[in-house]
Amino acid sequence: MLSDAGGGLSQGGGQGLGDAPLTIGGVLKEIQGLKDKFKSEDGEDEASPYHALEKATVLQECRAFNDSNVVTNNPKRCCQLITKLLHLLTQGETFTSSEVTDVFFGVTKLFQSKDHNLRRMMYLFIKEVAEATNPNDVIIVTSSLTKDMNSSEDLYRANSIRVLARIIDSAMLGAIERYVKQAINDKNAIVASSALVSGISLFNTSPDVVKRWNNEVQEALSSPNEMVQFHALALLYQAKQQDLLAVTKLVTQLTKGNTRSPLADLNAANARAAYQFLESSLRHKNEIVVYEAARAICHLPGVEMNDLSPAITVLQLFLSSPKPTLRFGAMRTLSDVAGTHPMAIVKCNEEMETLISDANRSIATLAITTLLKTGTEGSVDRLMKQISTFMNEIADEFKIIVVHAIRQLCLRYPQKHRVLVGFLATFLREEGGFDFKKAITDCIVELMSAIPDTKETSLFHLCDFIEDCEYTALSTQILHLVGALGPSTSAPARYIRFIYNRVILENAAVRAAAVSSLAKFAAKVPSLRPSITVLLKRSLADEDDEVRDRATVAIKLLASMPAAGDGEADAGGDENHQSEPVEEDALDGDAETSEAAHLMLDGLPMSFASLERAVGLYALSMQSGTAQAQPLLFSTLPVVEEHVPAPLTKGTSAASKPLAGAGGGFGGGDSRVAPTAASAPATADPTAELYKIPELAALGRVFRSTAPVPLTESETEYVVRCVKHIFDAHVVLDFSVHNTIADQMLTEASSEPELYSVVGSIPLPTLKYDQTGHCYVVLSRATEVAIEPVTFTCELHFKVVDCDPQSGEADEDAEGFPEEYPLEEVELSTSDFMAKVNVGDFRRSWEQMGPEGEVLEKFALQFRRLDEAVAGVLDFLGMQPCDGTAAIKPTGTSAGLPPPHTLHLSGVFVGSKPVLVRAQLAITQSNDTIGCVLKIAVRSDDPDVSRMVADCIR
Amino acid sequence: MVMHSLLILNERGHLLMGRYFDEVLECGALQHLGDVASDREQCMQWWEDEVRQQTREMWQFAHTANQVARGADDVIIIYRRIGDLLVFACGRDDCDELTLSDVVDCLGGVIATLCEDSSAKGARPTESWLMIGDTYAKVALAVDEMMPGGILEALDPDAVLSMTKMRPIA
Repeated sequence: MLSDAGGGLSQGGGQGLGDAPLTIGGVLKEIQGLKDKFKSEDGEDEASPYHALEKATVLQECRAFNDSNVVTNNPKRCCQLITKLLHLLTQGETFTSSEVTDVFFGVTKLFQSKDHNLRRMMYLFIKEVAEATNPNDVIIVTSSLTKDMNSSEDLYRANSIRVLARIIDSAMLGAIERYVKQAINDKNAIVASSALVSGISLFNTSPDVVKRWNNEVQEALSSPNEMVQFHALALLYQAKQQDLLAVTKLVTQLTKGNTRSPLADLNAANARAAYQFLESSLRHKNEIVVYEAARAICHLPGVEMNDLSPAITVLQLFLSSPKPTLRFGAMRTLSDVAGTHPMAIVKCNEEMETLISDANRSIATLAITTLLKTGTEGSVDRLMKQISTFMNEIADEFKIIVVHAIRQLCLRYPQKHRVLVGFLATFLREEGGFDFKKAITDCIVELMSAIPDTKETSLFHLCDFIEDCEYTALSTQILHLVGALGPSTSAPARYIRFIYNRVILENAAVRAAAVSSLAKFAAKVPSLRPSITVLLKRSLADEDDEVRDRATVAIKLLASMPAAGDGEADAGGDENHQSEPVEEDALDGDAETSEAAHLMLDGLPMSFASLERAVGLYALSMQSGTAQAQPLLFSTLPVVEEHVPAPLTKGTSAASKPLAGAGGGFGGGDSRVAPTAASAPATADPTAELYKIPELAALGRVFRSTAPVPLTESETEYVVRCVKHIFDAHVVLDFSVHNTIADQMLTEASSEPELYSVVGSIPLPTLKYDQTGHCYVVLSRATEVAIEPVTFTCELHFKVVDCDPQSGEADEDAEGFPEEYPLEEVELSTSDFMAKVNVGDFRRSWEQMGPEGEVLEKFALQFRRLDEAVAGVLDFLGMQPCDGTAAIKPTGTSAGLPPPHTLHLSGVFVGSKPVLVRAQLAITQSNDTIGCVLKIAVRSDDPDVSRMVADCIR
Repeated sequence: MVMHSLLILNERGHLLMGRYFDEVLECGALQHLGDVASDREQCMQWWEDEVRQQTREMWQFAHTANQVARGADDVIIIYRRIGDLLVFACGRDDCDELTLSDVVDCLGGVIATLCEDSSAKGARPTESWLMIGDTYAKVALAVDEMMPGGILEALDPDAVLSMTKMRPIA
């Protein structure tokens, strides 16, 4: 890292050699002469003492610290050695523990010296190596430093406090606290500042001690010194930042008072109430105060556009500042404001347009992206023209920011899609890295779904791009997209050339994607089928297995389709290129037309991650013998939810030990006890532990498990949480109990819900301190009766046995006494029986399901906002939102009621019954009362299930 | 108000002094480097490269005024050319561009004063000036006085220099 500081030979070195007689002596003399000449020319007749420092040599030299003569008589040498050590440290050199200890001990000997410079270097060194030093060794210097804290030299006091703050722990801080408090109000500003800054550092490790210095810090706040004021305020804010009331009082106190420090003003921007103060600070003479006040106003929560105006005016002036930092700061703040109040900064557009040509690209990029947020529809063309020259001059990462800004602009002004998408496509063909090209591709794809008018032109742009695309991932993504969307365009045949070129010219992965894409065109467009089949046949001799396999499957399926087949089949959903081989087995003996199209056009019914989890659970249930042998089909796979409930804090690998059989059929063992809740590794799936309990094997396969519900406060003696495992005809309540009492042991812990249908329970035999264990209650459910929400009252029954807090062993004569511990109620709602499963293509599934088992309902809900209503409905039904309908699109207008929102939901009800829901939510207003109307349509194969799901709305 | 880091490079971009204060350095590096980020030296090297990459184009303009750039994780980089040396102050959140600009100005003032006091009259801030004699130690001390542990403590060059010499401030 250190560059060569010693100069070196430069040009022209061969001239003298050419004229001299060619003897060895002559050449050597000549070289020496040149060396001397260049050395003196460079003016660097001294080599850097830090050049090519070697750690071992420096450590060897540092042994001089142990020589008291050197320490007292030659402090300069000691300083140089410490400098070398620091240089090594800052260059990233690492020292072993023993090396650090040796050097540290050596440095402590330097306290004998009275030399100021050496003392200062020692302070610096101790701070730097303290973290890497054994804490026991650090104590050695504490007494010397404490002595310095009481020195008459101000700077000794200041520095020793700083060093102590870096090396001591909370326990030792108590011993020197008195001195630090004195120092905070020291008449010397440097000492006071050092103590306050040390307090800021110490707050992270010993907040309680530092909070006790409140009075002293308050006094320091009225210091005549600016920096002391600033540090006192910083420390006060740090100590009180969790207490909004205290911060408000502090702000009120300061805004009324007269702080002299410009830096002290910075932190006052904490509450909306301070607006007046901030506004007056905009007229401060110091530009840093003005800037920070403007920034604080812009970031006030819920700030109105009118309030922003004075701050924007100030920032507008800063945009023309000759200082790049001020221009950047103003631009950065305006960019933030543009996200929330774009209209507020329109008046700065002229200045921002000037900044597009700023030499500093960071400023120019901010200006561009902000202008894209504030630009009007009329200025889009002019803006794009300005950007196109700018884009060629900036790095890819800045280009990506601009691309994202253009996407937002296009979504705001869909009428301008031709210009904007065309602009993006231009840069798709220019030079650029993968991330930049991916950003453009993703942006174009997103715009295609948001603005249907762009579909055909965008597809052509993308096809143009893959003609010369060096990135396989992008080519395959685009080929898949063309296969999905191309057949439904006005002239699908136009895309075949682009795709087939890939089959001829590209690598195996792209060829395979191209073959799949061609097959989709053939399946959806009957008129193209014969021609595409001819093209596909050429791939039968491809050198790559995957390409050949895909071609073979496609040709076989296409052959089974009639010449004038259904050309209107919907495009596949989340198709993946690996899907055909997976489904290939299902083809044998059954290749009806619809199925052939389905195989080619539809993807897997679940994502690969879900499939992996489902197969894992299938294997687990088969191993444990809980499920009867079933063929491995999609229909027989266990239901896997999109979002697995948070893993329980239980179970170690030791839990695999079978439980010891006990009376009553349900026994207990200690295998369900984990050492601690915090340290227990998360299990892969909450059901995995359940399958290991033989008593529960007869219940069959777990349909789903809910997220853990706390039944106690998190800081009580016994922390209990409940997970509900849903089976086809049973429900297992899994109570995880955590014992937080050091001298108690729980035995025979069990939980008893007052329910008539309890068919069994598995108590927890022993639960020691800081352990988490599980007890189970098995409930039977009458499958013929409709599911309704039920609430259980639960109590934890156990026997408390006193034990030795150290060993954790029970006292010998302790028999224990029975105890009951009340728990929160457990609610078993209908939504607990619903698994969140995504169906992929919702519309297609909705049509396929048909209206036979449909239930329609209309509800009036209490929600006043649309986002709250959507969250509420999702919570009631416990289903998976599809097609991104969980997010509410911004309307762009804040006035009036929002337009109705449609929600698409899918799930699988207990018994593996797929359920789909379409819901429309509308906020209504009547007689000043705002409410929400929910229209809901529930479809499933079973009307009773649809009814139960509709009844979930409360 | 904790700074992220302070770097001094020579005109070719080689690191002469590097001080890292922010623990977030590791987190940022972790996102960009993956497992390699467990090594602090790798993290420092990553940030050094990041600073060079984000600012190199503007080094030639940095002798007249402090320049600014934005690095990974929204860290603001303020830099200035002082003689042949390039001084970079990095920070984020409260430690924003103007505060960092004051830090660079202060360190620039310290270096200028040290140059004036230098035994070789007419010395200018170069790599060899920094590395020869006790200048490196003085600059390291000045940085420590300005921002012990990354917390801004003093921003007046004269006061900083007096403190490095353990002399009372006039």
